[in-house]
Amino acid sequence: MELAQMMKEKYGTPFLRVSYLGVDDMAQALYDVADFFKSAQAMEKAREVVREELAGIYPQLQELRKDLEGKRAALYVGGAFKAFSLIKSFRLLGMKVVLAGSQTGTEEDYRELASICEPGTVIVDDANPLELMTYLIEKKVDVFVGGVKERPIAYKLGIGFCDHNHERKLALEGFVGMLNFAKEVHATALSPVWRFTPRQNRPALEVAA
Amino acid sequence: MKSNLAEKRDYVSSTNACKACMPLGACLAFKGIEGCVPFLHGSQGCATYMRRYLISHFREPVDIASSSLGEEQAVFGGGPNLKQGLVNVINKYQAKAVGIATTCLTETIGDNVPAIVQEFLREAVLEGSCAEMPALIAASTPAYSGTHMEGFHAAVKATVQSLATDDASHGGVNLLPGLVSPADLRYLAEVMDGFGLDATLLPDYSRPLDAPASAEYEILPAGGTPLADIRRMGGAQASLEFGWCLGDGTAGRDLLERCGVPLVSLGLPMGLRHSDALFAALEELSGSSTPERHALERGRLLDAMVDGHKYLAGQRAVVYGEQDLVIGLASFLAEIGVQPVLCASGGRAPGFAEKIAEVTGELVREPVMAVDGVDFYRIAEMSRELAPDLMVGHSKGYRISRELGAPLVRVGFPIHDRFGGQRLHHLGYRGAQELYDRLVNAVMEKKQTDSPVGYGYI
Repeated sequence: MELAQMMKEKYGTPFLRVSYLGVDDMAQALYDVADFFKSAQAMEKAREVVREELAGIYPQLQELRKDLEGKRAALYVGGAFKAFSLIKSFRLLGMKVVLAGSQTGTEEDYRELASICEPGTVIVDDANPLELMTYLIEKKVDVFVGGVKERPIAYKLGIGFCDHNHERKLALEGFVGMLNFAKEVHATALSPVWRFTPRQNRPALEVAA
Repeated sequence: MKSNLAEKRDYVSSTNACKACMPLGACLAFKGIEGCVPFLHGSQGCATYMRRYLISHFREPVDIASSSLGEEQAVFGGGPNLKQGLVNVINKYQAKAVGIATTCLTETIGDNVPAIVQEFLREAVLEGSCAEMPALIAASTPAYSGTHMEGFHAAVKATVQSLATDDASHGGVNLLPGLVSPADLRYLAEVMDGFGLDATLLPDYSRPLDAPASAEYEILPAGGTPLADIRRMGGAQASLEFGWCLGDGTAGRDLLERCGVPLVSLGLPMGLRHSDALFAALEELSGSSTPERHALERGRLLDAMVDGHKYLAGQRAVVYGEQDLVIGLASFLAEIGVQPVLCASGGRAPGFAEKIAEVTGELVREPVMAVDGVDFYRIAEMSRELAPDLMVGHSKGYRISRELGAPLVRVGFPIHDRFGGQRLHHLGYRGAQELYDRLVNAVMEKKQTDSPVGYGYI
């Protein structure tokens, strides 16, 4: 953003603030661009792309949603802007965001975050492992989205995890990225290993002699 | 597609059998008895083939005697050859025991081995042809009526029946693990020791078939279950026997019925739940809690299962091999989020499919297809349709793995195309951990190799 702002000031290059994460924001990004150029043709093309892409992934997303409906998600990411898109993505999967936060959010970011979160959602800024641990337990989180440093916290607590950082090898942006994200959340949330982890107080499975 | 795949067809032949023969299993079991020479009553080719097969896996000397029947004996009976062979083996090896296993030929011509052995004993005493008479154990192992597993169990049972005659009680525990690796046997001995249990592990080929370097060629390698221990198995406080597909006629059952030794039947302790079952049984038998070393191994296994769960999530595996091993593997794979799509065995066992369904249960997302009595030709056909990500089994599935580009994680026996098959560890928390690491690494390696980028972080 800062860079775009500087380019605008120095060279007069206009910019748009868009997110490529999640179906809603990705589609909105395409519409905003078409809108910016005031081109009916571009808008028509954007609509066509969104239609086509959605037709490809929507049935699969619905299938994954069946298993994820009602599960509880937490997210803690670098920039708050990413958090907005993730909240929408989780909603698309029928999941409830119970904890959201970022490392570098501004006051403005948190006002916006609070406005799109449901009441009761814990919002954290520049949190440390102790805070995250406390809220992950308190909010009975099923899936946590964060960076590599958050992963061991989730795993030790027996909570599913999805990496959302620059080390990723599989895209999370764009329409296909949403599908990748959904698949990964599904894979971790529904893994049978949680039945055996110490913090899960589920009854032990019967062992056949 | 599924129903079509699972459909049984009547074959009159096997192509690339997913099993070995009964006497081979018997020879393996006999190698785990102190001072015992396996002896095949049949033609020489049987011994040659089995030695080759066993040596390629264990990379140890495997001497197997043979009564070397030719055409004449095939017509007139193999008794004289068997007796002559026994004299030679007893005198040349100074064996403490000879484990006699029959073969297709001698079963078909109807040689009555127990009667020939009795005759031999009488004659030997009269003639003084053997200075010291070893224990003679005879197992009936017609290759065509079962697999190496049936042969293995038949040999263990014959050993117990003929040697375990002393039922004076003692606090020891009999442990009958079935066909597991030398590494597994060493692990089990360590586990029993940790609980302070005086265990008789039968058979125990952990040393004879994974022996240290030596200055001489030991004609009778050290190790094996001591004969003195086998003799007093009838007085143990309990027998632990591993396996779901053993049928009724087992060594543990014999000790129960003949000597009243309580029998604890467990599945192979593979993966978390079945290892838990073993440790629970040992806690009960010993009255002590699980030693910290093993409790920590359990904890580390769980930790690894969490750390690796996303690498394995949704992977589809074809599993094949001996029935009990396949059931144990299917159970573990289900625990770690791998979907077994086909569980296949060359042997036949009633209840195999039901047991697979039971151990995988609600942990898997789709029902597991389980077929027994199949060969690799059929397993390949089915695998082509199922397009698995992974294969888990012994070396003989390599061709299918290669054809399908699905990595093969090698387990069990035989391992003929990798090094260290005898040291593969499958049992308990530690064995599950080793297997787990290899499974995750197989998936990672495939991902890394197939990637055009060549990531250094996976």
